[in-house]
Amino acid sequence: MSDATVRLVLRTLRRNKGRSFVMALGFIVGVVSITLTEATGEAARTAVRQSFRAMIGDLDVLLVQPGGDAQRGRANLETSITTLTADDAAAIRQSVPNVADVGVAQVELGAVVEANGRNTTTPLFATSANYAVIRGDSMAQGAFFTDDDGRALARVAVIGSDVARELFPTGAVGQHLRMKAIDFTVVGVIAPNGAGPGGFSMDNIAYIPFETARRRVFNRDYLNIVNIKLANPSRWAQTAAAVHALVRQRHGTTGAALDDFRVTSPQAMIARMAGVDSTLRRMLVWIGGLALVIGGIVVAVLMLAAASARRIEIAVRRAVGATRADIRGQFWSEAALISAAAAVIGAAIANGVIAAGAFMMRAQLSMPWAATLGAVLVTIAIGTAAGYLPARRAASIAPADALRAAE
Amino acid sequence: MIALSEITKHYGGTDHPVTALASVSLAIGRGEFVAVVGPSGSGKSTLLQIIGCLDVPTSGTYVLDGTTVSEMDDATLSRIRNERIGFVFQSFNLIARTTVAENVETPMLYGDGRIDRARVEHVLERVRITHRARHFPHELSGGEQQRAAIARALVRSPSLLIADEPTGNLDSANGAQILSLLSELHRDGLTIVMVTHDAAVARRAERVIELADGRIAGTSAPAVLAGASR
Ligand SMILES: Nc1ncnc2c1ncn2[C@@H]1O[C@H](COP(=O)(O)OP(=O)(O)O)[C@@H](O)[C@H]1O
Ligand SMILES: [Mg+2]
Repeated sequence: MSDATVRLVLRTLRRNKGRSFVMALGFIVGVVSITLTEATGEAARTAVRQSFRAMIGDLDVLLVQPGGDAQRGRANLETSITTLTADDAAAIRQSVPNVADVGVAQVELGAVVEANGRNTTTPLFATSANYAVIRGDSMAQGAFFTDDDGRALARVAVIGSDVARELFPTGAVGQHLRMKAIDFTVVGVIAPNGAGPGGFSMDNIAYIPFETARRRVFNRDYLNIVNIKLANPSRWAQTAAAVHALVRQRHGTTGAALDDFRVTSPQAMIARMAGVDSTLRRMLVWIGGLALVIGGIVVAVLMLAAASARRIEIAVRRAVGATRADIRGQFWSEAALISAAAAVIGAAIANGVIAAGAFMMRAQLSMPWAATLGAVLVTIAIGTAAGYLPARRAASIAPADALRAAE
Repeated sequence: MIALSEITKHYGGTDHPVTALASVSLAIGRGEFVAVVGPSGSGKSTLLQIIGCLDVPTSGTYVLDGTTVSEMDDATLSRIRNERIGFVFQSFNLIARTTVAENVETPMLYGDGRIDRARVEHVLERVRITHRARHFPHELSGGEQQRAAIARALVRSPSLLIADEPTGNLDSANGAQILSLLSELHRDGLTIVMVTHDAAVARRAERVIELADGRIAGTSAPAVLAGASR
């Protein structure tokens, strides 16, 4: 493609703006949609992982919760199913392979906390002392309570950073708060975790020792969560099966009888969500690809039409010295340049949309350069392929016949 | 300069062949101004396209300036057209959506690709169309379009100008202007082969070749032809 050809072709494209726009449109739409799909897909994956991390903490765990198929899966943290116990947790710890640690929790979702004449409502977790370690939480102030605190039925509490900010603006550790008509001493504040799925803050939370709650606060034995830390996270599926079999046996559930508990893996949940997400994304990428193909067809059709509409131009160029190869080069360059221009314009538009989206919605959007480059190259390849036949057609026009027809 | 010997041109397939030229032999010297006349369909345009290296004969030999062009490939013929031959057509055939100056530059694209602006300026002046350089063909009168087309034909300094009924689409005033321009160019040494219907136009030439049914029916000085038609 010589300089002169490029200048000539750019002039033609400029002087036929409507036609150039129609030729470029499919390519622009294709590149924009592929780029935006990739960008939002990446952002969505990151967001899902972040919200799960905020909710569950370390994701290399298994969760056992009361309520299973016998309850049609409709269990939540405030279930009244009383069959999951600390003994189940101990048995899992003892006999299931690949279990590194087991934490337990009783939960009340809306506990009122009072201090300094203020109050707030927060989920109250009564947990074993290892719970923060299993979650991977770190402390902003103080420390998590210990096994000794549990054994002593100590009235100590650890709170999330939202609760700390709300009730103790000047420092929480050593302060007192009141929950369920009992006074607790704050011994630690958890470092912020951010928002979980649904956007709720995971920093609005309070922890007290499980033993204390069992005897003095909730006065019940059954658990809401057993949190199992895996030694080898990649073997989560086998471990989940082993936990399932053990708890089923301990609950005396045999044969076709339905479970009264369920074992879930955050990794599996994320994979499931990412799976739904990626099916959608794959469809959008296909739509983008389809736009590129349609763009290619449009270019091929319009260039073929141009080859016959511009017969006189072609014949005159041949008369003043253009070779067949010159004509072929001109028409082929026209298809290649319009597709290259469209691809670059598409990438620029997508970049603008991504920058605007990242700015206005404070979303973690960034340009997926690899995907965009791929889309640009595919566009140029399609455009060039689309121009091949029209260029040959144009070059094969016999100048003598075309000029005679013009007389 | 031009030597055609037994040039035959058939059109169409073998089933319905049309013979446009039948064994035409003809010599045209450097600097000659030749008019080709004859009834419609007699083969005038075909003859000019072959002389202009736009088409190749079915048989016969064509020698231009000592080189046998009847057996050259596309690239060589294209270079010959680019460097040595200028074309002027009845319907002007300026490239649409392309200014007069850009039209005139076009042959330079297919030479060494360099645009010689001074040369473009020069030929535009020569045909007195400089004031229209930035205009598009559809903004020009017929006479102006034909002058622009002549500038385009001249820009590469050809030695041969092929003109197929150059005044056919013009009124008599504009036609006369084009004819005197061609006469001027001829005086400056250009070889011109021109097709015309018009005996008065043919009178401008030094020699008139009359075609009928693809054969040369007569060659004469224009005065003789003029006398015969009187
Ligand atoms: N491409 C073609 N296919 C078939 N016949 C053609 C073609 N071009 C010219 N002819 C025929 O060749 C003859 C000579 O045509 P042409 O050279 O255009 O004559 P003129 O210019 O004298 O009118 C005519 O009979 C015309 O119909
Ligand atoms: Mg003719």
